[in-house]
Amino acid sequence: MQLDELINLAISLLTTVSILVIISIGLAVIFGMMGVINLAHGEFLMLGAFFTLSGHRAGLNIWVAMVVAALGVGVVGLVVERLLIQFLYGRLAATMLATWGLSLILVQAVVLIYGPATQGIPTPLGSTRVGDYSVSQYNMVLIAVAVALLGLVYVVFTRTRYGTTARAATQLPTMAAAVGINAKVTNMFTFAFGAVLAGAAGALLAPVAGVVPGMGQAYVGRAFMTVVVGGPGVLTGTASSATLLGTVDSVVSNATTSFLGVAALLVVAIVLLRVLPTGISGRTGRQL
Amino acid sequence: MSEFWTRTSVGEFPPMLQVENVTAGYGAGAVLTDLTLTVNGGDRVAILGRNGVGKTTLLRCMIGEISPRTGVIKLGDRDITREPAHRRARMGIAYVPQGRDIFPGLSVMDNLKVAAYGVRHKAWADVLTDVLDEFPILRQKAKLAGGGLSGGQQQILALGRALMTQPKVLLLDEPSEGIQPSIVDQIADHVRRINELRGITVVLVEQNLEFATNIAEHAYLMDKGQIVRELPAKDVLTDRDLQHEYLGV
Amino acid sequence: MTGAQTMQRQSRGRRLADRLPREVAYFIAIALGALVLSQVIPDFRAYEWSLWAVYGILALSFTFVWGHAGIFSFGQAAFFGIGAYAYGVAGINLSPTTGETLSALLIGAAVAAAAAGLLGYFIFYGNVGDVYVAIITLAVTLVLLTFMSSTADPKYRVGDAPLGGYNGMAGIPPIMYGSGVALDTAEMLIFCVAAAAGIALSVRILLRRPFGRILAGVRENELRTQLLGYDVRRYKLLAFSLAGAIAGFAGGLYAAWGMFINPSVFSLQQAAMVAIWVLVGGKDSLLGAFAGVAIVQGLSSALGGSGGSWTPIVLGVVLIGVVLLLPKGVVPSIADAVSRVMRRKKPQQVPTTVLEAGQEQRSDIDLEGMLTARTGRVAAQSIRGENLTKRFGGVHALNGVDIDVPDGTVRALIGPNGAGKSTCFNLLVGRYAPTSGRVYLGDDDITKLRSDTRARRGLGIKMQVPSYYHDLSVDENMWLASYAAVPNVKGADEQAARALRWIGMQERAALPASALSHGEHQWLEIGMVVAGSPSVMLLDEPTAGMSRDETHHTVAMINAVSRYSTVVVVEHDMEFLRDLDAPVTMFHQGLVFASGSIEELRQDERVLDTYLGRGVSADVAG
Repeated sequence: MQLDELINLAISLLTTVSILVIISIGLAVIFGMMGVINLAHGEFLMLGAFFTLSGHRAGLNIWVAMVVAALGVGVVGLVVERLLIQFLYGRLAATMLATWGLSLILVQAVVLIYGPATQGIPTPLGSTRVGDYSVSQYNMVLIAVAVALLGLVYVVFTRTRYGTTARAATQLPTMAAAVGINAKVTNMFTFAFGAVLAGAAGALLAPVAGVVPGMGQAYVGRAFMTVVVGGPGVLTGTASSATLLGTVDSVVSNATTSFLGVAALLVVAIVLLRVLPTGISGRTGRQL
Repeated sequence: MSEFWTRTSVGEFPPMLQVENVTAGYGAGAVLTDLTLTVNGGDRVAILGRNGVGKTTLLRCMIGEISPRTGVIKLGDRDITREPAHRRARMGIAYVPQGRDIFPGLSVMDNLKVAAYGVRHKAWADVLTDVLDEFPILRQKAKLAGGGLSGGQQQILALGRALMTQPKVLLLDEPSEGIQPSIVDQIADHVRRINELRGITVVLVEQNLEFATNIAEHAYLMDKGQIVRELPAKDVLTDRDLQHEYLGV
Repeated sequence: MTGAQTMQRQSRGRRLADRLPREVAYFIAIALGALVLSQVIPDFRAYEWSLWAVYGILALSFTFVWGHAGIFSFGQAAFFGIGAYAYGVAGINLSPTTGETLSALLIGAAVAAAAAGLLGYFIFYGNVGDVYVAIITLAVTLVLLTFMSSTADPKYRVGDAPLGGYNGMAGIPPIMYGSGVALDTAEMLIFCVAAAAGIALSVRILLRRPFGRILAGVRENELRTQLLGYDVRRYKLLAFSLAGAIAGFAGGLYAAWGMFINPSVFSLQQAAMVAIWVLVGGKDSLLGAFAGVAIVQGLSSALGGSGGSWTPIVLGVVLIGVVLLLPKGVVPSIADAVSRVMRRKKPQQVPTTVLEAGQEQRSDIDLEGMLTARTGRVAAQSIRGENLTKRFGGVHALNGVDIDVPDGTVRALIGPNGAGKSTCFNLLVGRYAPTSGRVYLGDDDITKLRSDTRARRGLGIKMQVPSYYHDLSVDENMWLASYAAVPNVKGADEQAARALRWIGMQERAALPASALSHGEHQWLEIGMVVAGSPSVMLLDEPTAGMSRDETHHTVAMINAVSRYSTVVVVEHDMEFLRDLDAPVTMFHQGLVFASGSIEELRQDERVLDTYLGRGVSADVAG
């Protein structure tokens, strides 16, 4: 195989893995740290894309629009936690059904406000030539951002007061209360942080995917499987799981169709869970 | 020495922690039945009794993990019966549960800091220095994960973490359990010092009579959810009948 | 025909009618009702209500798998879709030859059942937690959505039936019952309603049978059901497969109704609707499934059909509202409110407590009957642990313990906290495997067996934390325990009656178990263990939380049982141990520290020292 072909394939693979990391990390925080199943995660992602769209149309620089969009979704997450999620901690079925209802509302609200048609943002940056192949520079950005997001989550949870408190609260909730930690407040911020990450994912995907109200549905299945296969370790789990499943998706997609790639990803994930019921990082029991 | 050391004066006598006519339990049954107990400021008190009489339940009521069905709990003058656990921690009750409950994924240093973050006191950096001076082993192991320490080291960390919240009252549930005998003596020394030098009231639940009487001045015996005897701690060791009757020995 | 022959025929007919369940009468009534209805309502209504009946069957599958079996499966829409596509494929291929599509309907259900069985095997035999069941079933639905959407190319076909990709499969035949004659709209209504009634009533009958009752046990308290000796994985798999079959059947009807199917049946929307119907209608009753469909679909219809732009928002709000405000579901909440308003009568007198009833005399006939029920004779076995070691990470909980309890004897395990007695107990129970060493029941090596298998071999288990069926009646608690030992209904009924008499609760049989006092809960559980006709009983702190009198009572019970079974007890209570007067094995620091009678141990200085904490090392054990 020629070197340029190899590089092209490697970048394609890394891009798929990075996209998985990006769409999953927000969910990993919410599910991995709090055990909350947020079925509206795809819709948070979708909101991130639409907010970016609006920001871009309003004249903001595309990168600024993305950051603003992510923070905007964080605010939405905060509100959702206060109005809905906080009453449902520990109630599995109830949380799933309520967040499902929320996703129905969010999708339709966006349809009513933005219209149902697919819209788009031109992909920023251009492409570079690598031998016979043309590589999109945006893909390189996605790869870099995936790594950066993992780093961000690490820093937030290990180097900030909030992060240390949140980890203590999820490791031993009653002991955390006994040292003065108010779990309600911590949970609120954790959910909002997860929402910001989900919004960021949507913002980043806006230039490469069609921005349409139903786009969340396309990603939520994959995100969930990545998180569940990854296990409780927010970083180690997501990274290892995304790498594994992303590789499967990429290889199968290149050989057949992208539809089949996704299907293969989901099937492999189901089989893996049979073998490792607590996920890849479940054995180590690490939190991050 | 920081201001923390001399903040509370030694030998305060007014009641620090009062439990009045408390009935509490899990589910349908009641574990504590109409229990009354008063602990004065600066005291070192041991609560003794067989397994299942409610000693741990009593401590959990004090820290607020369990809500009493009837009765009142007071810290100093304040009625704290309806306050949730995290607020009681901020008001000055520190709790070291059975098994220590060290945050396993946090480093030793983070275990200490997170307590300070939790109670949100200012000037915790000085307190941290004092705690590290008091327990040098913690400085040595600062970067290690809490879950990787031995039982005795975890107990020391738990004491340090409790001190980080600058408490008025320290509740300890079976601190000697699972710790090798040589370290157990050290821990008893530490607990006595915490009380003598900082004036922190100590309430200790124990099965290990020697350890308990080593630390405490007063002993309360529990049976069937109530306090049934109160006596000087040293008398517990000598009274064989008492041991058979109440302590399941 | 003589008069006598006529009378014989009549009484035979009457006896037959007595033996048939009343569900048959309901079915006939409903089918007739549908017949009448179909003649009077306009065609478009009949068309709409046929669909509601089909949705009702789908909702019923979810009510069964979640409400009754306790399995939160997001996959019912997936099996619905599989059944629909399978019907389509079978119908298109077979109906030109056979002239009917009833076979296709059955094929649809069978394919869905097979798919459910395969997936269920993965899920339930893989020890995946509840959370993951929901997620996996959701993911499977999405896989199918993705997969089926990509089959647009005409090369994707099964026989004569192209799968059609995102556009779906067209030309699906309607229900035909022979010679190519299709049902008209009115007949379709009758067919769908009759099918719905038939399935619902059959499920109702099933729930009364042992399978349904055990399934309720799995839902209420999975651990306890395992400890009674039931293989819960098998029950869950069967329930899941049956629910898949029902959903698949509904799917086939759906495809026949619309003569069309496309991948949107696998969408999140469709999966959500199933949950919404059941949530709204209430998951605790089979009727709730149909009520939910009627309410939600009626509402959607009134709001302007599923094309209406506010419908998803209203549905989302309804879903959130129901979850937050009416967690039991609309129908049960209304029913509760109505009954609270209507019924203001005095609560009935709770029967006297077990002790008040003066039940000092334990009935030995009952006891012997219970403990010989499994094998027909006294079956006490010995239980032995050889060189048992258990490490949890770095903690050495047990360091090489030998314990031998001969058959028909009682043994008490004691020791301070952390000494290893609970770990030893858990190794005998099979809660986890030893790091090294073996466990023997009689002559059989049971080291590698799970708890439920050990229970089937004759181990009766009561764990430290009370574990029984809170919300089921005392009676039903006992029956589930009995059926595990005596696997026929009549025999189990007798065994349960014996057990209730023996623990003195026959008058309280109809009360929910949650109404009992704490001590009575312990006795209920002991009774359940005995009803399982064990050859060895393992009891962890049976007198925890009991008063003095209750403790004495329990000692009498254990002593009586020991005549027919071996008993191993973990206890702290010294009075209990003195009363029981059985050989004692004392643990300290993961080893057997001392053995003997309780009196001997009380005189032993070293024993006293360990309890006082005077740093005695276990190595000096005699």
